[in-house]
Amino acid sequence: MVGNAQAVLDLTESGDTTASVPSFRVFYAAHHSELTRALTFGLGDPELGADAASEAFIKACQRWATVGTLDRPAGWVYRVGLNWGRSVLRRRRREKAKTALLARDDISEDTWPDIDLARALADLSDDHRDVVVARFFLDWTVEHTAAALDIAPGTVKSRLSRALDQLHTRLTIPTETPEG
Amino acid sequence: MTTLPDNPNDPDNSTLDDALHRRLHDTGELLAIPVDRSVGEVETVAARRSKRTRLAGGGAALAIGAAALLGVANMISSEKPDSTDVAGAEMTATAGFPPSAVAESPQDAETGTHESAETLPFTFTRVELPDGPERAIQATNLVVSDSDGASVVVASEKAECASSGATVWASWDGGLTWGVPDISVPTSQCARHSLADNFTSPVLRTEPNVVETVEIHSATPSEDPAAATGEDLAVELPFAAQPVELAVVDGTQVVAADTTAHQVAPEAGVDARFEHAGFTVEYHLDGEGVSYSIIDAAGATVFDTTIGIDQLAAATAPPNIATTADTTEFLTDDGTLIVSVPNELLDTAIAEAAMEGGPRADMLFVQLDDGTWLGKNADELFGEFTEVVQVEAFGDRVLVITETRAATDDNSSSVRRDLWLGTIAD
Repeated sequence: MVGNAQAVLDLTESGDTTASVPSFRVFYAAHHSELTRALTFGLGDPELGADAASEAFIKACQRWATVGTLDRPAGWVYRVGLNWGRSVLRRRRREKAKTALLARDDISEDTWPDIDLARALADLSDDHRDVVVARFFLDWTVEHTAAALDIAPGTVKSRLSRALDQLHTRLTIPTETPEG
Repeated sequence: MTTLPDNPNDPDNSTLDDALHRRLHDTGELLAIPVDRSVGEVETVAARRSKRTRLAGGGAALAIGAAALLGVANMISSEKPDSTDVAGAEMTATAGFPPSAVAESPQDAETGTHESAETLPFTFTRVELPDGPERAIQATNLVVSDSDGASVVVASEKAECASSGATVWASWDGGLTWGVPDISVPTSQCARHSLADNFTSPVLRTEPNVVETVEIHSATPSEDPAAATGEDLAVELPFAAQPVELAVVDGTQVVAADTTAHQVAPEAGVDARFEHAGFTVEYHLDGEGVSYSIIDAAGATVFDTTIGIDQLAAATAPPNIATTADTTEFLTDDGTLIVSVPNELLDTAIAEAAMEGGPRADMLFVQLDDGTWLGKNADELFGEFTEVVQVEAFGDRVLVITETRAATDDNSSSVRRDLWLGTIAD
């Protein structure tokens, strides 16, 4: 998490009501990059991830008087972005005669620096991928992930457990071993 | 690399989890993210959308609501409705609906969870139309409009204009009384049924006699349209609706739009230009989005807005529902998206989503701020076996026109058409 984001969290958790609502610009600067990337992971498409982030931030800006008072506005933006992006994906799916939501053929090395990781994520269900990205990329706690995705903490844990089982099977994650 | 605050996994896998964590962050850093909007651009877009909302729903007396010309002429009741249905011409209260009756959202169906939505956030009330000979024609060619953000204007034209002029009913929040047809448009104006094909026809536009003779239960202060500012003249049209006419009713402008154009793909392009009270409204739809401008008599643009194609694309059907020409979508001014889906589409959608329950009547879906969809069967909303034939959204409300079919003793069927006024719940 970048420093600005932590500053925002510090503000929102300080209990000082006069300072508890950061400006939208501060929030945007703190979270735009990481949420765009998180939505890219979640939606499997950098362009769509950027669009979803843009759309979600616009909605947040429109409703900042309310969204800005949330404990974790980033969670709201993440969920709204996912919802928006999934709607687009569903529409694309129908337009493509019900082809796979995330066709692995669409995942190219030109787009994804780690093609194996991208494909492994694409093989996860949406629900599992959302949790993995929230926990392992956004570094949110179980509670924060649960709040952002509007699910129970226990559900976060169970989805994460199953997702990790799948990822560990699919990915050959290098372990650091001494040479020789 | 940051350290995960708490690791819910088997400690034996911590090394693998850390490796996954690192790969995600490394990949995230290297991702080539397309150039995105700056914060200033985001604020500008947000402000523009909010401004559009305020202009349309903020109560400006001359803010023009979306309207639609309902071109359905084949569903006239074979029987006159029981006059007791409309006696009194006052609103009858039809309550909302219990949470337990709310249909599962398609999102839930697709994901395999079955968390019922709390409620569709609308409470619908049936609107009674006045009794009398005009009752028989209510099923045809209704023009529904929000005239000032607080009132509803419904106009009905006779299929045969030779003998009688079009009729307009009006209703206000104060009493919601659908009065006798106080507004009788002169027979000479009855060519309007052809306007769907030719929106440039100057019918019902600015003829002084229309303005002067119109008297609705005047709960809305009369204002001089010519004195309106550009902002007051903000036009909100369904994104693919085609303006067909512009009228003045008691100083309030009414724009009617032909929603058959709603079937036009955005890329197809629709242009319209019409004039009123010294202002010219230009409306353009292309691959970039929808734009409309209001230009004053001096040629100065006094209002100009664009809804980007990305925003239009977002305003589509709920999950699992194919977007077709038969699916109608409307945005209320507060951004709530309402989608009406015909039964035949639902059957397909239900099969696709493996929803249980078999065939059902039409459904209404509402998209909440966070993108969640709520849906409800039309027959559960409105009673009996009901089809939704028209949905209009304006302000924070939605007007739904339904058809209810019933078998009769002589083995024929009748069709009754009802209007329902929905108010977004607090």
